[in-house]
Amino acid sequence: MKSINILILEDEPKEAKKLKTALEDNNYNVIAVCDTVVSAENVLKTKSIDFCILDIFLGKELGGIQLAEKISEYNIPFLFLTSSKDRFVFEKAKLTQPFSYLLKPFNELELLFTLELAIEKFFQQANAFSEEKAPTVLSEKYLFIKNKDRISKVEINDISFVEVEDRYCKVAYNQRNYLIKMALKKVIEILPDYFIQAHRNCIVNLDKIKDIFPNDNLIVLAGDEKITLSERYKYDILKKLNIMN
Amino acid sequence: MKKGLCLICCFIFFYSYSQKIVDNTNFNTHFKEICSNTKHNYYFHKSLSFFINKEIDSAYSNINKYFLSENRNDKLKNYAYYIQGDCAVKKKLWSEAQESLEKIPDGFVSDHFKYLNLANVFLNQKKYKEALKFYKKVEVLGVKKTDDYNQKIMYHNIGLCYLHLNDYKNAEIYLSKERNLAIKSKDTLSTIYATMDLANLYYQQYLDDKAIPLFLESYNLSKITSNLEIKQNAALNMAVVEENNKDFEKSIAYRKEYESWKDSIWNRDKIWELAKQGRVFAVKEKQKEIALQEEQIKVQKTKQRALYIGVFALALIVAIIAFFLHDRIQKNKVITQQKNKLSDLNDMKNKLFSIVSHDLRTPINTIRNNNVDLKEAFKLNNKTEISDKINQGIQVTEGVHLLLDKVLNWSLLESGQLFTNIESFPLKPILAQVIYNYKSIAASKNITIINTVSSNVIVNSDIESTKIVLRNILDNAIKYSANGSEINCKAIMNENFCNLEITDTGIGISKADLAEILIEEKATNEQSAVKGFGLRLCRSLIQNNGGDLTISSQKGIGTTVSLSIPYKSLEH
Repeated sequence: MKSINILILEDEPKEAKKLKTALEDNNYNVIAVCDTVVSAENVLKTKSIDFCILDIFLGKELGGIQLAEKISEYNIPFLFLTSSKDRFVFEKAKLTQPFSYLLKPFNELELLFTLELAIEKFFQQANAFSEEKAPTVLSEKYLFIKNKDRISKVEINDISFVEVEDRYCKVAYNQRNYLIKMALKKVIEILPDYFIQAHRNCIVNLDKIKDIFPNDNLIVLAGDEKITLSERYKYDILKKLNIMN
Repeated sequence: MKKGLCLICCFIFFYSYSQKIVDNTNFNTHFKEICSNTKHNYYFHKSLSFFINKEIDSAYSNINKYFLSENRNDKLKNYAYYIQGDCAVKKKLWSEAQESLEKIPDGFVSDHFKYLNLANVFLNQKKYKEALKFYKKVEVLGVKKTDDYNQKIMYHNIGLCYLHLNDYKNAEIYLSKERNLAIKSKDTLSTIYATMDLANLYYQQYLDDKAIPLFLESYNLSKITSNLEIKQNAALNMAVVEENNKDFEKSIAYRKEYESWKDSIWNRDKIWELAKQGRVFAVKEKQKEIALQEEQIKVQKTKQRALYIGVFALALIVAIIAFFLHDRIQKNKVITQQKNKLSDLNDMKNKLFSIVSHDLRTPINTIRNNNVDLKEAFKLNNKTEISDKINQGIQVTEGVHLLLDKVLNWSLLESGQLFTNIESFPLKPILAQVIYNYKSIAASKNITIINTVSSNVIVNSDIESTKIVLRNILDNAIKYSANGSEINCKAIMNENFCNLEITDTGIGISKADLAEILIEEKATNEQSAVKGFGLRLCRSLIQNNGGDLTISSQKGIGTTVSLSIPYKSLEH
């Protein structure tokens, strides 16, 4: 599990510092604090950023909204910071969907909650973090996991397999399991191509396959987990493995 | 002498001509029978009905249409020819009449009428021999069949034919027959004419012995009648006769009589003319009168119309005035309403100002005193005092901040500028966030805030509005709760709403106060307006998001504020 990398766009140093402290206290990784749209863009180009917090007003300019329009290219979730409840500003900000905002002054809980909300909304998994058993959001790159009001991430290529468990999907990562409240079919859609179905209720990460015993219908993964291989998907998996090797 | 006779002959000819048209009343019954026995034919029947009604022109044109039409009936053919022929005779279209009548075969019901008509046609065309031929045929068919009147005409016409053919012997026979018939039927006029005809016949043959008594007879008979023309002619005839007898004295007497009759005729005509003129004059007078009356009526109508227009215009004016008055009243009503609303709003604004200034005055004063004390404490380097004063300062500014927030939200809400974004969100963390802000204040009063809302309660509302409402309710709850008490927050799920109940064990609000707080109109004094401001703002906000706010309270026991928020349950 890794911390989430955050970019802050804020021109008031005091606010920025407060924000940075609050985030770092909660295990977030503040990569950069920028006070102009241009500098923020440079950071986005060069560094791996998972989340952006954007102050709508940079001076009198609507810098936050400008950057938000560009962020959509990077597929990074974001939230707006504002001290104004002015309808005009909100209507403008709302054009950059999905749209989450945090009103100044805010407390720590509000900050963490809005961050959650922004991630849920961005990946269209509303209220996913409110699931008591499965407070997770799945994206193409990461599985976001909420733990005691903090969000951390697991890289998708570190996941060894996903298996149906009750009404959830169990994600196996590094000998630990996380639940996602999502249908397996939907999970397959989101996850990259190297996840492939082993049987009706399970998909495996091809990179994590240590051994395969086609005659025994068995797959052994890097963590020594044993997965049943169904006849139906056997051919596909073998074919893919051959191509890859 | 010849001249005079010719004149008489002509006269007789015209006289007979006028009478020789065949009366066909007997045939009408025949035709009616045909109609009922044959299939209906539009033109034929139309023509027939005109024919029976003696509208000859219409009958003739319709029968011609019948011959042109497709729908013809063989049974009707002869009748149709008969109608055509008869009409043609009456219209004096001799050759057409001849053509039609000749098409009717012999032995047809009305043989002798056919012959009679044909004979008339020829007579009129001065083809006396042919005419005579047909008259003979009629005579053979049986004169008895015809009535006296027609028979008389026939004899007269036959006689006339012979006369024109210079067969005086036969002419004499037939004219005598005619005369006998006339005498027999006691028709004086006819007798006179027949006698005159016969006399003329003899006279032309210079058989004066036979002629003169007849002329005399006709003259004597003419004295009985009132017919002036006959009297005149008889006199003239006698005058001519006496003149030829060289008895000029008598001749002059007759001439004079003739002249006198002529004068009488002239006088009669004159009288007729005068009478006619009188009538014309009377008609003209009448017309003038009518014209005058019409003119009067016209004037009256014009007057009436003017009256109508006047009444209408008046009604219109009244309607317009009424409309404008109504409009005016309506406008005034709206203006009054707006004025009332504005004055209400102004009152509210004034109240708000007083709330703000009052509520600001106290904490600002506190801060000022605080700062003075702080300055003093610094001088003395009293660290506990400094810390206390700083904490106090933070607390006071928190309160001021909340107040300003309220005012700002109120003004945004009232001006429609408040941004609301209804979305689904979990209630528990939002409540937790608000509680988080009151942690220190609650702790200072040793008040415990318990949030038992389940984390799977997802509501549909605007997050910021909900926070403002919760903040105000918690602020009140803490403010009016005793030290060391509890504030409970629990959610009860209904079908469509989540009822969030925030219960304190504070001083409570009396029923009367509660009514004043929640009903704006009842907020009679400034104090209750101040108390109610926050709660009313909350209610407006939550109603704005489709929910509602209710308060139940008992003085001395505590208050429960219940928020019903539209909710959406998480599927499990």
